[in-house]
Amino acid sequence: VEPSLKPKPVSGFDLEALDDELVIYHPVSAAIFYCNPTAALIFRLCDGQRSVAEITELLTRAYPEARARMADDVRDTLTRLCEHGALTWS
Amino acid sequence: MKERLLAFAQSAVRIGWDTEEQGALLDFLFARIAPHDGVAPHRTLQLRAAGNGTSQLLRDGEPIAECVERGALAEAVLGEVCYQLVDRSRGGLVVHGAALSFDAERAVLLPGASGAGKSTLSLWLLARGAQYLSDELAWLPEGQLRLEAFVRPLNLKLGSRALLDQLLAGRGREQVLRWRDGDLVAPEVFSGPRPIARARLARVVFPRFQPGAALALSALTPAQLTKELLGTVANARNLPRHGLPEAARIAREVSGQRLVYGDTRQLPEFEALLRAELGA
Repeated sequence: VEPSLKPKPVSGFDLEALDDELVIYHPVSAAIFYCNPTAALIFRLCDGQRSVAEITELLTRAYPEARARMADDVRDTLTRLCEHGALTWS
Repeated sequence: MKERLLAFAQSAVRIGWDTEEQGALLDFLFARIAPHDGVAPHRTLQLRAAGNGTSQLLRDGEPIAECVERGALAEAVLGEVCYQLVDRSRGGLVVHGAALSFDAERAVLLPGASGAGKSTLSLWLLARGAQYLSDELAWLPEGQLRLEAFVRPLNLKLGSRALLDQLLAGRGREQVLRWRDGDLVAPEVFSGPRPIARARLARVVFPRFQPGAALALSALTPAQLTKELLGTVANARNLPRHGLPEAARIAREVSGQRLVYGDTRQLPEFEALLRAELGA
């Protein structure tokens, strides 16, 4: 995942927030994704304006104790959501 | 032609038959289903005698199956009736899953696809005194925590036959339709003369049978439960936002677990935990 890429949600997905977690559902493909609190936060920061690097930096500032693994978490989450069609790049 | 109405989850079909034998088979399959809930039937099915002991199943006058063996005919009729009822069902989630109760008031829902192990688990729990609701379909009316079951005979594959014979220990043979691909077991064999059809939803457990696996029971968060539940909803396309808000509502109010088991000898431990958690 290139740090300069800007992820954004693919249209057509329906979201349901439960506590800090998220369920993402596509009614046409019937694809369903579960996002834990970290993945839910990453997904919500994907607005097509912020780059991967900016999302990582924002989360690292907010959660400095998770600095060591934040870049990996962001990359893995974005890769998974892109592979399943919930995110694309702008 | 004689006929009966079958209603479930605000959907209804009419089914007719020619012979006494066909009528007896439909009694065995559907005597526990509500005859009518005010919904007009959207399909007419019919069993027709086709000679040489063969029965034809027709849908709106068109033949869709022809069977000699009673068990094969039962399987074809069950499959078609369930499909047609689910096709127009609305007013809440119809979940593909089994449902049982330990106290006739609270239901444990066991959703899962074919082969997940829910029928074997249901059979085992029934033999231990649980009450049967369904092994296939449960309707959760919108805005409520009530479960309404499609109460049909327990439909067991060949792989469960040895366990069935062990648990029956010679009783209730006349209430089992045994055929080449499996067994259909009247719920009265285990649950007495009046199986229940509705109860309050108290727990959702997703069983998965993995031969050789150790027993593993893990709690699901509300979001995980929503995802898993939505994956077993059979009538999503008939529901607002495909059932997502309803699945989430239920997940906020009811606990969910994932169960992995590799052998029925592990199930007493699961049963003890489940009963303790439910206070049953």
